[in-house]
Formats: sequence, C-alpha cells, structure tokens
Amino acid sequence: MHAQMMEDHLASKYPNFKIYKYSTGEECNDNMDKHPTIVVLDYHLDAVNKSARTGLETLIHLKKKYDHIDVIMISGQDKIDVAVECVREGAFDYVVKGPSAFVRTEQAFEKLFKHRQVIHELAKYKKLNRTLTFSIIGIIALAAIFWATGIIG
Amino acid sequence: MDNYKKINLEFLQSFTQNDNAQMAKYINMFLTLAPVSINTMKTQHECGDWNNLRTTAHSLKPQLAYMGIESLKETILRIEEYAGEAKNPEAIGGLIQTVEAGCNEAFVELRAVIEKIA
Repeated sequence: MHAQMMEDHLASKYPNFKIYKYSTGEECNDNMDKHPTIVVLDYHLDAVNKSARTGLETLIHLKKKYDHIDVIMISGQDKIDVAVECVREGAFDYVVKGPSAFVRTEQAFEKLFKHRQVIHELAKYKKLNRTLTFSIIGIIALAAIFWATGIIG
Repeated sequence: MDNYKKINLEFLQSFTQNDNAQMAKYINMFLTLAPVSINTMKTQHECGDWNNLRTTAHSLKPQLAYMGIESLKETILRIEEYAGEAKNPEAIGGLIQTVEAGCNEAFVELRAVIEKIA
C-alpha cells in the first residue's frame, strides 16, 4: 500500500520521471538495464517474500555494482541505528514510513538534486582550475624561454 | 467528512487533494490488505513465529496511520516490540485481539466512507 502511494505521489510531483516499481531487490536488480538514477528502497523488502534479499542487502549490492546511483531508504523503523547503518552503507537519505514519508521523500529528492548540482559545479571549477594552472605554467615557461634567449629582459 | 470514532481521514484527504477516486482506491487497498495482515499475525502468534510476526505488525503500522486509526498506534507498536524480543506471548495474543476489534470497527466506518464518496 505504501509503495503504491509513494509511486502515485512521486508520479504527481515529478511528471517527467519514469517510475518503475518492483516488489523485491532481485527484481530491481534484474531491471537495472533501465538505467535508473535514483532508487527508493524499502528496508523490509523481505516482508512478503521471506526468501528475498532484505533492503539493506539490496542497498549494499546496488552501491557495490552501481555506485553512481543514489539510493533513498524507506523504513517503518525510526531507530537511529538503522538509519545510520543505511547511510554508512551508502544510502543518500533515510525516510521513516508514515504520513510524513511522502513529503520527506520529496525533500530527500530536492536535497539530492542540489547535491548533484554542487558536485557538477565543483567538477566544472576543478576543470577550470586545472586549465588555468596549466595556462599560468605555460606563460611562465614561455617567459623563461624568452628571457633565456634574450627576447625579453 | 463526518466525524468517525475510529478513523481520521485528514491525512488521506490532504494526500489525495480531496480526490474521491484516489481516496477510495487507498481505502479499498486497506480494506483488502489489513484483514490479511491480521489473520497472518494470528497464525504467526499461534506458531510462535516471532520474527515474522514483528515484520507483519511493522508493515501494518503505517497503513493504520494512513487511515488515521490513532487508537491502535500504541498497540501495534507493542506487538512489534514484544514479538521482536520474543516475549509476553499471552500479552501479544490480547494485543492482536485489540487490533482486530479496532480494525473491525474501522472497516465499518471506512465502508461507510466508500459508499458516501462512490
């Protein structure tokens, strides 16, 4: 029920997103060829199918194989150690199930978009910085050559 | 929305933005899933399957919250807690009965809501 409500909520908030819903981590893993950029994962994925991988096992597997994918964990557990464990294993954020979960997931998405923007900007500035450094070194080297050959000084 | 004793649909109304079809969809889902969860809890309690009983109670918890069944919030938490620690089997049995009785009252109110908004 929560999964259906979450799917409906995200579909209405982010109409440009393609949303796929799976009932087990294994099924999610089998569909990674759809190249998702965000995975919203239930901590208790083995609640219905007892032999299925747990949400935490799925998280560990996904982060190991597809590190670029951001995972938001959802759980009915409001225990801080569960949240810490998920974040330690690479989850971007942790949301507790309940009426506030939908707004909290939306906030996690917004935080994630800002985070990605910062990473993107940082990469741009790093590249610019590298280009500038090489340019300055080039100018100094040229000046040294001109000075040595008597063109300047 | 009328005043009901067991349920409070404020969250559902806000979540669906008063879309009756959407509300009916989630209420029907609850009416289908909750009795299954209650029966599963009863079986798991009889078998002493504490770990799975904890998981079933855990899954039912947010569903009760979505239907605004506040009176069962503590009870379902106790079931989850006791089953997690595999303690108080007799108390768990009583707690499951409380959830069942409370849910049965809620089901009646929810069916009335469905009839009204259909």
